[in-house]
Parts: sequence; C-alpha cells; structure tokens
Amino acid sequence: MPEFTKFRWQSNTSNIKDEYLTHSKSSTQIICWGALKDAAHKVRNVSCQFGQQYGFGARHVVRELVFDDDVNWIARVNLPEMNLGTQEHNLSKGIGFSTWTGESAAALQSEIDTMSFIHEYTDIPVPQVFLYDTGANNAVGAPYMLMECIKGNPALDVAAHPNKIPAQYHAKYIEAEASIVVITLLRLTLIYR
Amino acid sequence: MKLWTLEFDKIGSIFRNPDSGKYEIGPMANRLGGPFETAADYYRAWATKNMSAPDATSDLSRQIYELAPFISTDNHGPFRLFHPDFAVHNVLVDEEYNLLSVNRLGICFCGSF
Repeated sequence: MPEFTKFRWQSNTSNIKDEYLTHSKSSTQIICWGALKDAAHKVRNVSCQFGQQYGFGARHVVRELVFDDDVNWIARVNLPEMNLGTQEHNLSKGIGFSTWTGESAAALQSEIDTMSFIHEYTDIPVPQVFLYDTGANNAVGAPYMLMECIKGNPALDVAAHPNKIPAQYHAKYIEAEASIVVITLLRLTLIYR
Repeated sequence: MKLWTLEFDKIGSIFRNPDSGKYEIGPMANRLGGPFETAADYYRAWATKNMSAPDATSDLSRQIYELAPFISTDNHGPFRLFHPDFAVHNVLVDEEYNLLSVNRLGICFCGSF
C-alpha cells in the first residue's frame, strides 16, 4: 500500500471546553511516560521514543511512539475525571483515579474486546491493540492501550469543505460504509444530499 | 463478513472470556445494566434510567417504558452489533477515501432494531 503522504498529526480541540483542556494537559504530569515506553520496548524488543506531538481529549491523551525500525504505535492513556463543579483539579488534591471503578475498567475492556472481535469476525478495518492495562494501579499510573498507528485522517477533515466528499469518491466511500452497517445508507443520504 | 450478518442472542456489550477465549455478551459498557434477553428489557432499563435523570424528559421515558415490548419487531432477537455514532468523524480514510479504520468502538454494542 502506498504511503499516505498527506497524513498529518492533528488534534481537534475546538469542541473541548477550556477547563477540560487545561485539566487534560496538567493530568499528563501524573503519567509515568518512561514506564509506558519501557512496556512498548518489551513487547517488540526494539527501542522506541515518544514523538513530540500530543493529542488531547477530555478523557484521553494520545501520543505517538516511534520505534528505531520506523514502526509507529499510538499510546492512548486515560485521564482522571475532572470535577467541573468545584473547578478544582483532582490532581492537585492527589485523588487521581479514585473515580476509576470496576465499571470503568470493564468498559475499557469491552472496547478492546469489541475491537478484536471485529478484527476476527469481519473485514472491517480496526486498529490492532498490542498491549493494554484497564486498571489505574500500574507502573504507568493510568489505564492505557498501545495500538496500531493508522495513517489516515478523519473523513470529516479530508475534504476541503467539511461534510462534503468530492463527487468522484462518493460511490466508493458510501459502498465501504454501507458494507459496515445498512442503516448508514439512510444517514449518508441525509448528510450528502 | 459484514457487520450486519452477525447475530447475537442478547443485548449488551462484547467481552472476551479470559478463560475460554470466547466472546460473550456481557453488561452494557455504558452502565445501563444487562445483558438483556429481550428488546423490551433493554428499553425498560433505558427508560428507567432516563426517568430518574434530573433534566428528564419524563413523558417520553414513561411512554417508552410502557411501549417497551412493541418497539422492536424482533423482541427476542436476533440482535446485531452496531456503532451508535457511525459517521464521517469516526472513520479514518486516505486521500482517495479508502477506508482505513473505524474508530470509537467503545460505544458499539449488540442491540435491537
């Protein structure tokens, strides 16, 4: 497959409230990035470094891991929940992942299991997960997953004009989506008309 | 194999049994409970949760609770795995719109229609 030359690292933070973003950025201090790097090194037995880029969401931080043999992985780390009501960061109070319950861990486990299920039983492309921990009490200091780096961009962003896929790609794109779920056809008709 | 052709006998989220390695339908990852044997059980759980929410649209939730057995044409399944937010912001493509990956699979669950 040819390398996707227009791939660009991007993190759309425009729809995230400022206080969440501040929280997310300060949350990264409690993550032991060295431990995560070591864990990745152990899986492949190849040294790796973190790239300079961060991707922030309200619940996760994402970083790129670059191995010495030019393989790229994505590290997705869960962030502690923020209590917006009090405007206090859980971090400064040393609470961290006190709100990370068994249910939180189960939800993350189901996400990972759903990905491997889809990979095994369908031809729908999903990123492969190489290593994960659904608990917060680990050397990294947070739940995490190490996954395949997919060098593509959200379909929403590839087009120059959001939500408008160029005419020559309509059929191919819609066919691909339709093979995933039938009701999507209805939705695409509404969006792209 | 397409997603639509896979059929499940319960409503819930997918979990892999760590002992057997087999996939099973467990409770909903969104904390709605379950797994549910019928679509009606699922809709009742949904309605109960939404009725007690502080800004609840209680009339709708109550109506859904009462109509629960009649909402789905297949109350006893089969159920199907689907992505509740499947659209252009959750798929990665290359510059020619070849589909490379589907994202946000944590919200996928086996449900009724």
